[in-house]
Amino acid sequence: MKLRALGRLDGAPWRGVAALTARELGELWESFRFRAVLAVIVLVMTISAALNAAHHHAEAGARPEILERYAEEIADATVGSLADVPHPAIKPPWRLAFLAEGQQRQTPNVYRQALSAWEVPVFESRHRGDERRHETEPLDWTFVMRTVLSLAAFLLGYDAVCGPRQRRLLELTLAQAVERWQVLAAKLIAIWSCLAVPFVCGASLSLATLALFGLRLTGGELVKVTLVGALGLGAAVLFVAVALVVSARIREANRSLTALALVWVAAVVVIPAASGLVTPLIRPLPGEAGDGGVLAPEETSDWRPPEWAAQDDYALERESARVHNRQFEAAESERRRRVEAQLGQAALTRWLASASPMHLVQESAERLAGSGQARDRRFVAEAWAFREVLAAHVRGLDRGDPESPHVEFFSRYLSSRPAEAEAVPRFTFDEISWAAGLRLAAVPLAVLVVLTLVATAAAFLSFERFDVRGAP
Amino acid sequence: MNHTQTNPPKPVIEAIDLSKRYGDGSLALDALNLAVRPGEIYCLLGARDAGKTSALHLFLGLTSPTAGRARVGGVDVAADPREARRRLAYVMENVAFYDTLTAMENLEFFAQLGGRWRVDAGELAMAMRSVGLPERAFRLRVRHFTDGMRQKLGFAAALVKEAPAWLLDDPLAGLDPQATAELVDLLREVRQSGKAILLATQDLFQARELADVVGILKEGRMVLTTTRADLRYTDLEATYLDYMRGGFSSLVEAMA
Repeated sequence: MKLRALGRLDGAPWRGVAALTARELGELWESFRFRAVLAVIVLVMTISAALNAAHHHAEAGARPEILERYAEEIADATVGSLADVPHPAIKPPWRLAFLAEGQQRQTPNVYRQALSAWEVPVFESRHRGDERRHETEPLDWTFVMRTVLSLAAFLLGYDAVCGPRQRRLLELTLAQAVERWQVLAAKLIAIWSCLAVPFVCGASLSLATLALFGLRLTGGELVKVTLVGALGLGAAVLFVAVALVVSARIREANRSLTALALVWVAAVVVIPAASGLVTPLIRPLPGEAGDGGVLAPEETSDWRPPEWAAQDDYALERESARVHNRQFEAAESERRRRVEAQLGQAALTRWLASASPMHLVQESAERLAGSGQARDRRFVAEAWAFREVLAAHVRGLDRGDPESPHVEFFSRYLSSRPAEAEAVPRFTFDEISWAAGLRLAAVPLAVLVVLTLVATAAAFLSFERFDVRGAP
Repeated sequence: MNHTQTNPPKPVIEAIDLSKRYGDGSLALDALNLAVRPGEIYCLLGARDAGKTSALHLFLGLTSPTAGRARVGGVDVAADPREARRRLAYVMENVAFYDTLTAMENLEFFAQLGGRWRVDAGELAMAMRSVGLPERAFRLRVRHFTDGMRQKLGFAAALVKEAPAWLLDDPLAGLDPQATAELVDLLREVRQSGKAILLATQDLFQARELADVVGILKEGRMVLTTTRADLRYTDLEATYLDYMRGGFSSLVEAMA
């Protein structure tokens, strides 16, 4: 590409691009390929919105059931019995599942923890639906961006350069007073437009469908939707550029299509699958053998009825509590280490899968939306932190009772005063803000920008050197 | 054309030691020198792979020369290929157009790409009439055109471009005799209008009928150049075939 040609200010170069783009668009819009792409993208995005809105309603319905049961459990509780009650921390139904589901339907969404060292805290998956039924790939915008947009870009662009070359149309075009960069820019813009129009239409219908289902998005959520939508449009540039590189490097349309099909299968199927296989070898999870004793402390005989224990100011019980609490801390530390290891393994899988640009798009979209592993990590961290809030509350109530032996947190040796159910702190989950999501996505977004620039430059360079000689 | 003038017009199409070697090492063109003046048809005669199309591509800036220079209307193609192409009309064998567009739309589109942003429909219609396309074809999608009609449309596009130089790559190959005759007449008219025409062909009869200058290319080298005046005394067919066989007797005869 010659900078001199780019620098012309008489407007003619851009008029040339406009004329060529209009022609390319005309060719594409009349093609079956474009209509198929339009139908698939719009249909998938609309259906995904309907499915996710319905799913959200179902999930939202499950949440009050858990909270009502919990309210019943603590309705007549004493301060002491609050230590034995499993307090639920619920990850709320993911409102932006239509945007980036991020495996929120598979990962645990309830954490139950009692303050007593006897009770083992557990993460549970309490999702609506038949758990034995294998969930297929969740339909969301990221699915469209990663899978459909990339495939559509390849289908629309595989013969963008080599097709006209074979028909000798490229020779006639380049014999006119146009520069090569103008021709390729027109192709890039036209193919991108043929992806952008269906994507924007699908996104609009998707949002309209959500509104029909009564899911009103907040301002912050709309910002996230906009950011992910912009990411989709940006990713389309990358996919089109890749298609143009292949089309310019391979001189026959059928071979170009085959090459792009292989690229797509490798990027969408093989690389993610391989990363899933490799991860446990690189970063295995800690074994469970031998930690049973640590995770479940044995009940000892050092617990006496309170009236007996009061005689020596609960000396044995205090010592037993100290031992049990220490055991619990050790076991809890081990449990948390395992959860951290699982999250780390999942992160490594994602990192390896990011060798595929399609999965890099997925990762960026999930981070922008505040979904995926970032949301899971936040839930785990907040659920663990919730224990301290509960402990502080029960401790405060217990300290207010001079008759309590204050053996934390063993219900029989804590205050027997009634606890005010409404005052018991409830778990609240703060979703990741769009600004925080943007910060989280900065690195994968930067990589995507670099990839897009490299692919676009490669497309232009390949076309500059492209031999237009076609079949006579 | 009379080349005995003391001040012949400046060449519109000019090659100076123009060479092209492709990446695979094959030498397509070896130090080509030629000059086509206004109102002149220069016929590059040669077999397939003789380097004719490579020469035209070098003038169009579609490929860059390994050595030498190509000029169109005084513009160095390597220095400003876009400006050079603005001065060139190109018609090739089996010319391709957008099948989904009508003849009129195709002409308008390629006129725009050629730098003519405002062309009225009357001018387009006149160009199509000039090449012998029937009126009903003007608004017909090109996918319904015969090969002959496509070639005529190619010539119409060249007319609309109003370029001072024409490059023709075997544009009459495979056409029926009537279409060929019509387009040959058209080329004579174009020559009369002062255009410089470089015609690459392997058709001896066309060369004899149309050319003011004939250059025979063999394996990228110009092995003989002869003028219309010389052609009267030369058996072009025999000379050409001799060259293709690698003989030199005709060269001596022609030069004599």
